[in-house]
Amino acid sequence: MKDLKWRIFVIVLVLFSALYATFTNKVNLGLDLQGGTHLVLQVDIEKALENEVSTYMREIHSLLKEKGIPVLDVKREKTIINLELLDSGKVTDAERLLQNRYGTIFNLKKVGTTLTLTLRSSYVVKEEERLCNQALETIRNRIDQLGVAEPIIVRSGKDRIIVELPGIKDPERAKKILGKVAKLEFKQVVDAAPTKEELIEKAGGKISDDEEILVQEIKKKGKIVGKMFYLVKREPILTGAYLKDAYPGVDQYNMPAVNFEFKDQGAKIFKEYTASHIGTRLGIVLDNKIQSAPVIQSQIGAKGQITGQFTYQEAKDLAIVLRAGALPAPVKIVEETTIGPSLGKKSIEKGVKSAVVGLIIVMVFMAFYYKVSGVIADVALIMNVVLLWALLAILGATLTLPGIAGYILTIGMSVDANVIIFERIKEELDKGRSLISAVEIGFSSAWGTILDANITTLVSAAVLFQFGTGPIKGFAVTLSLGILCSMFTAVFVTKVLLDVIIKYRAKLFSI
Amino acid sequence: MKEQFDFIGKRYIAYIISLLLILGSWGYGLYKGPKFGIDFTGGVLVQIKIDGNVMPEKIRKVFNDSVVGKGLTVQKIRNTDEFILKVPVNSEPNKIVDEIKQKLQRTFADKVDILRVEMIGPAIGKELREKGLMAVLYSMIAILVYVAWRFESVFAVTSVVALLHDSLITVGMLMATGREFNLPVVAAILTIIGYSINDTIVVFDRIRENMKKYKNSKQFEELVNESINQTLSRTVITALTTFFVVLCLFLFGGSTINNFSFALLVGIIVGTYSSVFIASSLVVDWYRIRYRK
Repeated sequence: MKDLKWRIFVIVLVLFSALYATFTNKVNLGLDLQGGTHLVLQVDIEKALENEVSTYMREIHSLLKEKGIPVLDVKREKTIINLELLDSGKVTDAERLLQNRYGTIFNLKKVGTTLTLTLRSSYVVKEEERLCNQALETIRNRIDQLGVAEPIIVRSGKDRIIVELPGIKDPERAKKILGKVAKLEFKQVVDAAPTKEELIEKAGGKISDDEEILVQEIKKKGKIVGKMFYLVKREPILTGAYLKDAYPGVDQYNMPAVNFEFKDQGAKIFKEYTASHIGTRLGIVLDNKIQSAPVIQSQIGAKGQITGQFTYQEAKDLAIVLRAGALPAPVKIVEETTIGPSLGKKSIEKGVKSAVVGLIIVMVFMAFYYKVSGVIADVALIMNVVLLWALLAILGATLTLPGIAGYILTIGMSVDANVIIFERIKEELDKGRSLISAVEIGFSSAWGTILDANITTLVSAAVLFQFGTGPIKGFAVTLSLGILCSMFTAVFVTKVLLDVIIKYRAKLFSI
Repeated sequence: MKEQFDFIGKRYIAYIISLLLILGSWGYGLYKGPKFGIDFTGGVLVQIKIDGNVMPEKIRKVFNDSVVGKGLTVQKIRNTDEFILKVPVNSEPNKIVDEIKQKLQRTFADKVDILRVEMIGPAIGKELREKGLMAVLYSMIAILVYVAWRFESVFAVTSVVALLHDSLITVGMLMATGREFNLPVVAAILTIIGYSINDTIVVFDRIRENMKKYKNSKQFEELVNESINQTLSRTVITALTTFFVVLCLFLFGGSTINNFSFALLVGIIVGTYSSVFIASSLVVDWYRIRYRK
């Protein structure tokens, strides 16, 4: 028992480091305890690819025309383009031309006079990566603008983004800001009419390929009261990418509006365009809807204004999303958990209450059943509780409500090792062994059992960690750390304390 | 030697009880119709608190002429003025959340406090369902492999059968009591699997030790029975301490994790029972069948 001093030293050292860690590190509280919003956003890659393909389709169509290859028909089905050529003699020419220009993007297949273009999987993978990373960046910018403290924004899987906003007061507003694509475009207005039919009629029954019809919603006090249709040039003059800054303001009638400022290059383009188009209408398009279509009165430079029956809040939020940039693809909120701060606080109270009551019952029971040895087990149990907290703090783990449940469960399960050992000692004493050898045999023969039993529990906790989402992960973490701690406290610490008693006060021993 | 209870001799009674429990709880549960949480079906859950004595009927009426009204359930949490509103899967769950909030605030003004909102898209619900099932399966396979490695394969197979038994009864009991089957319940089942195998292994460990000790000098049935008896007080005490804390969780832990603690409570009882009555008995029967051949 010469090494007893050393073993006591180890325990004291561990205990002090644990206490030190508890006071210097902080255990983070999960959203379910401190309140906040957890969102899972899904980037609509399919939609973004469809948009890209539709742009390519127009490009290809005009390229073929330019090269003197007549096209009978061109159709797009989702991300597949079907080209029907008029002249069977030129099919090979067209194939070669497209292979050269678009070979890295599309796979080409030729059947008779029809060319079918499908997206290459390598291109799709690359785009997925690019779109998601860009969406993540934009969302991070927007959250920065919102001013949330310690947000978590991470990618999950191939097309999802997880956003955690602790302590946020208005989750609905955050959702609207995060979900808005905010694609801003400035387009030349050709004509306008109150109905689509009238507009087409005015255009001569058919609109050309480089034009499109966009709608404007006329609002009064936040409600849509009417619609206006605009025929605009498809190709934008400028986009939101040229913006330097945007901020809320008021228009000439003192109504909320958004003021913006172009970067130098954008300002130059805008100046030239407005100078040469005085008297025409300029369509300000947000997410494919006309916001306003003012008549250009004079040359405009770097600064401009977007009006359109906003509320002040809408103007403020629009400025935020314009500043943060547009999302490269639409995103959809597929999962939301919002916990109000009062519920979180109540959960903590309830968790602490369950833990304290549970702890007391277990301790009283152990002391009652195993007497002095039980009290020793209780000391080990308290140490386990302290160590587990310290470990959570050191690892920077997040404590969730299920995490508290895992903590509580650990209290009940960690005395198991002690029970196995004590029962074994009792058995050995019944056989007539001396106290010292009974304790030695009790510990050594119980060790294998404890190890086997705990490893299987750890296995299921590991699986739990693997598949679980946030809060459940917290449960798996506290449960497995608790079990690991208990192997130290219930075996090592208990043994040392028992050895001390047997050495100095053997009469006191009872089990 | 202390008096021993003849567990192995009574094993057929235990088999019948287990079978009845499984069939009974599942039969009744399926007859009543199992309930799934929105994390498995997709949908919207809103937990609110309304000051004053408001009846669930009044809340339901608020949504009478709205899309929310279809399939809406309003449930009062006992002994509180809190309610849980649930709307099953919808193509536009975000709009449902919006509508619920607006309508509630318009009707009850500042008397209503929105405590919690959960929205799970239908695709995610399907994913979580599959993931949950796979998790239970994987953990059983992992345990099968570990126990087969540390013991004999007979022990591995029977312990997994016992785990299956525990999971089935826990799920059955949840259904029979009309409780919801959700993600935390899957976590509870995985925990029970961990707990129950822990219990079983302690007994198996003793059987192995006794097999070495007695070589062939003792009847196998007798040896197993003795092992169960030797570990019985440990099994009972550990079950008790764990049961105490889980009971605290069930009583004081609050409504959010109530199903979770209920599943744990049932699981600990069943898991302890199966470690004593089922797992080792199956080992005995296995050996008997092989011995006869």
